[in-house]
Amino acid sequence: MVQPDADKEFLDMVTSNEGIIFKVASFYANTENPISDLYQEIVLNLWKGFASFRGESKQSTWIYRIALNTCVSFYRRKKNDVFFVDITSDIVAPSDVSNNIKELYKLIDKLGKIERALVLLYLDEKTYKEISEITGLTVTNVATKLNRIKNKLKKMSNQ
Amino acid sequence: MDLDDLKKDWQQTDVKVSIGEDKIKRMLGNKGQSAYEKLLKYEKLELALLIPALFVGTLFWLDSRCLSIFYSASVIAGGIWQWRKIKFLKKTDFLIMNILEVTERMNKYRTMLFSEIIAGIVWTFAFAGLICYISYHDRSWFVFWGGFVFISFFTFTTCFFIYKYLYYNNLKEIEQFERDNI
Repeated sequence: MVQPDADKEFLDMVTSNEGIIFKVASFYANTENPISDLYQEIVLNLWKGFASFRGESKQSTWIYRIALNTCVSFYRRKKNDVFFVDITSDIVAPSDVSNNIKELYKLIDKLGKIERALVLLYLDEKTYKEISEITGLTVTNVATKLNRIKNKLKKMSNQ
Repeated sequence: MDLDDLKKDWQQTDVKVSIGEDKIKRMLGNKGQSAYEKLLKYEKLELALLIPALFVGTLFWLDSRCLSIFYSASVIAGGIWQWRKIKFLKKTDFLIMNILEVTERMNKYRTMLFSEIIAGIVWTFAFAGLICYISYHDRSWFVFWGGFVFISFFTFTTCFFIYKYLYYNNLKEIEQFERDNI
């Protein structure tokens, strides 16, 4: 159960970072794992780790790490394991997205889980060092992989 | 499509998620169990179920020493396997580990589940074969070997199709991940 003093701080954090949570969830959502389920799973895991967060890294880096870890490992033994709160109507995809972003969402499914994380962090202007911290790849590897992904996306969109 | 050109568009995309604080509180308070914790719960439940299964099964096949030993040894082996799986899952820490580590561990867990399915099928047929042998080994050569060939064929084809199905849906993705990152 949520403790009264800690919950305000946590709720504020979730509210001010809902964009990050939404973007991560939207990158990994599919018909089997809808965005609303991933969103809730991320919030639950953030709450579980909230007490141990001591600000050693930037809050957004910490949120990215947990959100991405949640999505890459999301696995349900039972397909009908449903969440308790219906938030489907609260999560609405932005209507004014550019055609390029729409195309990106179409292509993202064809990328691997780590590749998606790299694209997401790159688009959100994270430095290679930060990306390396979150993903566990070396800085050189991040750069190499990002170059490869850029070419892959170009090729896919031309097909 | 150029990823660098997308950056500006991406940051301008205005995401409006209007989940009220009360809903977030309900998410956390209402048996807030994550999918990961549920996974652990199922694994623990399976381990707990093996304990009565060991006693009931061993007692049931008490009149056949061979079956009784085979059964109890299998359940004990299953228990050890289950315990190792739980230990493995518990060591996965979303808060400390990076994405690469978590993905690797979850892929390993999924591979463990597939091996478990295959082992389960082989065990079922081996157990059925053993029951057949004990019950019919004194019957005619044709009945005994006919049964043996049928069970072997059935085990092989079932494993083959299940593996193929699992491979194309899951294992291929895991192999791809290992090729790219390990």
